[in-house]
Amino acid sequence: MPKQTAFGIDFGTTNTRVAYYDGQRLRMVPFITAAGQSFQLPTLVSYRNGEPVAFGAEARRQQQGVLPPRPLKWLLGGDLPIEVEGSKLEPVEIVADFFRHLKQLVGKAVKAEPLNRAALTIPVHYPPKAREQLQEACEKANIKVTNFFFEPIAAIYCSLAARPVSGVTAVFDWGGGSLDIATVQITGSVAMTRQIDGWHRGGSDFDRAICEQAVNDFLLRQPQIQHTADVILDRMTIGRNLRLLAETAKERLTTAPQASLSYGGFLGSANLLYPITRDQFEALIETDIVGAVTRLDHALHATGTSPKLLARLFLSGGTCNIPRIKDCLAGRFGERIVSRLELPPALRHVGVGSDGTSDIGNATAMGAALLAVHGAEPVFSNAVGVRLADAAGDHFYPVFQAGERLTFDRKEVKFFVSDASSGVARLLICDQSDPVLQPAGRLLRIVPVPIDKNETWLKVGFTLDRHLVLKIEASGVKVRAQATDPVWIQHLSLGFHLPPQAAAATQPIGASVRAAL
Amino acid sequence: MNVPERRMLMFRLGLSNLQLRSNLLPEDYQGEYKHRLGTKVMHCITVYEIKDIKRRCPLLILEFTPEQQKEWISGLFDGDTSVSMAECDRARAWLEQLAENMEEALASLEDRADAERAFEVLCGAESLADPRLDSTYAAKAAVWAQRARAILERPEFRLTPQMIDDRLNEVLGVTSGNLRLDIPAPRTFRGPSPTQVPGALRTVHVDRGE
Repeated sequence: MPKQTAFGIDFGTTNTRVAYYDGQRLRMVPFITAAGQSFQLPTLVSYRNGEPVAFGAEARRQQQGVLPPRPLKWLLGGDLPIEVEGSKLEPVEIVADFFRHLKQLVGKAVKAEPLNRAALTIPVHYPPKAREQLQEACEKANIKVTNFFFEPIAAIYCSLAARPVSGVTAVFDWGGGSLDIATVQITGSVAMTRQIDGWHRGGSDFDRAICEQAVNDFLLRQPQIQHTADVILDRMTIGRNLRLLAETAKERLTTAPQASLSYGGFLGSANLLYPITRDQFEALIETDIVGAVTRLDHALHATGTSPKLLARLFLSGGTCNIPRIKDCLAGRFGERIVSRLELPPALRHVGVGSDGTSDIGNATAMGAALLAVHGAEPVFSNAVGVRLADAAGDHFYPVFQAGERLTFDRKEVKFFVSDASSGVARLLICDQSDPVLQPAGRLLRIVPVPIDKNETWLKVGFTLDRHLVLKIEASGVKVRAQATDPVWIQHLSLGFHLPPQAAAATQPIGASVRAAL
Repeated sequence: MNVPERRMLMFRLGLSNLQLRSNLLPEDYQGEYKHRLGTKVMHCITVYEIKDIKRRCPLLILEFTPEQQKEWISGLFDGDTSVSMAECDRARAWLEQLAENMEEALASLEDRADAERAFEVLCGAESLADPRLDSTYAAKAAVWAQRARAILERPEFRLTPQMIDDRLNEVLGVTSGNLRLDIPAPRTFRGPSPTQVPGALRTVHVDRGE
């Protein structure tokens, strides 16, 4: 293993985890709270008079301050300030406050090195602007973001570094804010992401569903109250607090058959008491579970495999702890489900069980730290280019080849416009995983570009930035597009080079990674 | 075209109008003519191709006619006249151009389903059906969109209506870069406005060759 050091931060919707490679071992950073030591910090900050007063578990206990209206991770991406207890706060500042606190906690736990640089993980469909603002927030907290990695990619990197496997592996990473699915296949020393899919549904949506049930039940009993459930949940502080209670109830339902939400003095003098059974909760989220499993099936199908042929399914994210989801996946994938992270000695950290396994939730942060310390350069898993059409039919023109390392220079390509009579060049951005199965590629974006009706050529510029976003600018040869209106593609299929030991272990006659490490 | 013929030939919507090179050039462009073996002939070439050749081969000596010289110079500089999707009915025109092929493409897909082509049709039809576009094809386009969805919802493609909507929004750029609010995404697709076609690069500057 390299001797350099690196931090990896998994900035989650519900909890944040930090992993640290100290030159010898990979460790999870422990956070000391009143309840004891934990490897996760609730992603919360509460405010009083516009100033942060409590963070993490303290903010969750609601003893002081008011929480922002949405999870911190999803505050980013907008321009408007957020109103918290009458004060207007910039989303970037709120997130920066959280990262300042995180840096302090890490400083106390890791004496060897301050958290000045880190690799950060993001969901596949995280908006480009949110990525920029996340970096800005980190910089305000004096944390330089060295790399961005997609959450499922980081999780699977950790898994493959620990225990490589040939064949197709899938990641099912269902957290508080989103579901990320990726299928990965190892080709030589490169792990190629065959399919990547994101869905903006997660545990916080389930919390809201519980809240809606509870508030509607409450309003039925209190007909004199004129507010709707949406107004209470979206605009009132009690709605935010109720969400935290719902989250606790949801967590309790993973082990207990029943839980209840109890909120004294909910609206005026009325008390809210809403018992919910596990069956009721599972019925509430059944559509989402079916949707998630269908997405996984589709990803496997599009990869050219099936649930029966899949080598391993790697579960990550707190939402996967819901028993109904576990059962549903267990019925399809059986023992191929990996829900504990097996760590070879070199990767074992404080808190690892006696069997050498770690909480699967740590995989994303650990994967980010490993990717950073290995200097792993992402590569394009699929070719990315443009769909062209001529007399012979539609075909795909690759601008970036599969396996090509990511470079951050601008690439410019010129295409002939066969029919400019409508004054629009129809630019189709595609990717292609298999030239035989997808001769014309798979459509990612349609970009209608206004051009002069006498125009014959279209210039297209492709720029990949460090937030893993592909920026596309197009204009006629004789015209210039305004720089303010580029098109972004944020869900690229990216692969990575495996660490040498892991790559060797995936060979048919290779030594096992445990021995190699 | 009857059904057996349609099955033989996959009818294309023709969503892309881009090619690698001009369709005015002969098939053996930059190749050899059969009747003049050994001789490479380029019958037609635009100044943009010459410009490209010049860029790649700076030592090459090219002689232009005055007309070509004028065209060459005009191609060298960006201009400052703006063109936008809102002008000249562009937002509607490009979609209505597609409408002519929609019926044939759908019939072909219903005989021989192909998810990728069905998505192309769905993207065009949903955009065209948007009432804000005020297209004469709106009513027909709504039916085309339904037919395209029916193709995509066939079991072999393993796509739920939600997944179809998600991909549609993604392809049309409806959700890209938008802030996610804490409300579930709408189940039905809302098309673009005529002046804000998703993903469109709205204003460009045209050179008039001065």
